Amino acid sequence: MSAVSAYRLARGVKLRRQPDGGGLLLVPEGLVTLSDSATATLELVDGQRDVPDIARRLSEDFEADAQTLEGDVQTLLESFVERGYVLR
Amino acid sequence: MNAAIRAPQSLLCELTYRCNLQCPYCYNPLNLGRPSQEIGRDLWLSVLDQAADLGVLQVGFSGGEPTLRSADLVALTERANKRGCYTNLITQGTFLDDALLDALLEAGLAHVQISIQAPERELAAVIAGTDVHERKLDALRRVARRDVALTLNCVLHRLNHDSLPEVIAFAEREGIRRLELANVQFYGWAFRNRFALIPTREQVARGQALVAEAKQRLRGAMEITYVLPDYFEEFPKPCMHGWGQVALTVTPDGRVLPCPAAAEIKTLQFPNVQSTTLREAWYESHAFTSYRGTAWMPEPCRSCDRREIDFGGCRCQAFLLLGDAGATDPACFKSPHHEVLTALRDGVPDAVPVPRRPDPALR
Repeated sequence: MSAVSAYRLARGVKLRRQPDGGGLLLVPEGLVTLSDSATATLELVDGQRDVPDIARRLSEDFEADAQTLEGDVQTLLESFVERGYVLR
Repeated sequence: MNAAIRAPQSLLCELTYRCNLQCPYCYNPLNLGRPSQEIGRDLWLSVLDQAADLGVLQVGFSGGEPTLRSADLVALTERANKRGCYTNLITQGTFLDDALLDALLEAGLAHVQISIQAPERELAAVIAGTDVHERKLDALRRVARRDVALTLNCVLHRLNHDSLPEVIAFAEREGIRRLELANVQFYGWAFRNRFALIPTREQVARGQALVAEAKQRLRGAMEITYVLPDYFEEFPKPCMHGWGQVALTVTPDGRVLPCPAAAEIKTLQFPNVQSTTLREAWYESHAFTSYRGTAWMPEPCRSCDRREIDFGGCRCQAFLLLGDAGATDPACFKSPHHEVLTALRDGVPDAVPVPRRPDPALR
């Protein structure tokens, strides 16, 4: 399947862009409002990409340093793993 | 100050009050109505379209037992999904066969919640009034094999509270990732049966400790929610995040309610989708406006610094226990009538619950 360190959205978790551009995570019986950076990160979670891949893509889109972004991406994804929305 | 009214986020569709089980803790009204009063598929489709237009993102299908309208359920799931809503099926699972489940997933269903009445067959059959334990197990396993979110729900009350460790063990064995343990709330049939169902303070406290331990142990593997009842607390629950703030319910006969229990409030007339739009019901109806915000609040709520935290508690509970939907929820220690909760907590240890079933005398 995917690399050991790849992340994917948990079952029944759907990412959505609202008309105003803001991101939302729709989860069982609930919703989570997402920051722009969280939305951009989760859009790249596809079961194949690992943290360095995601950070690299984000650094291209947002003209930021990939190395620095890796830490942020890791933290964000781990917080969503904690809440059961993302699986490793 | 009146803040602008925000659009609703979630809609609960109670497709029918019919059900093959007779759980005494059911929050459906005592008057279960007649099947002939159920609104049809076309009107439900319109309700979903209207809800999506309003901005609703979360749609739940419930009842009674929603899978008793299986063909409609598939069509409604499809429409809600097409309109970009997240769809949840809340079911006891006894009719959730492979064919129906596959049709629902094809239609885009995102989440299934299946209830058990107890972790083992005998007690489950006593509570539900019939033995469907095997069929529920089948349903759980069926759903677990597929790419859809699954939550196991168990309503807790005096009769099954001591089985809580076994409920958690059951969930672990079945590989359940989301477990909802909901202490009974007293509406509808549950209200009628409250003296038989109210757990002891010790049971609730023991439950809290058990859940805390299980959460720690199962961190990352299982998400566990333990819904604490308000009848042993100081402060009331922030019911529905406020009357007419976030959610709405449509009943089998088309009434639009701010919550599934609100029809208990006999002093309010609720709008009906057969004669009004959801937009009108939400933004303009007397029923929704009556207890929205803080302007309606009596003392002590009006000057309480928690008024925008718990919104004065639950209107339905105030009505059921005090006969006044505009009163402070007696679950609040500041309520001048807080002692009715004491009466509830201390009363009738050997009360016998009445099984939930249609009763012409109640119509």
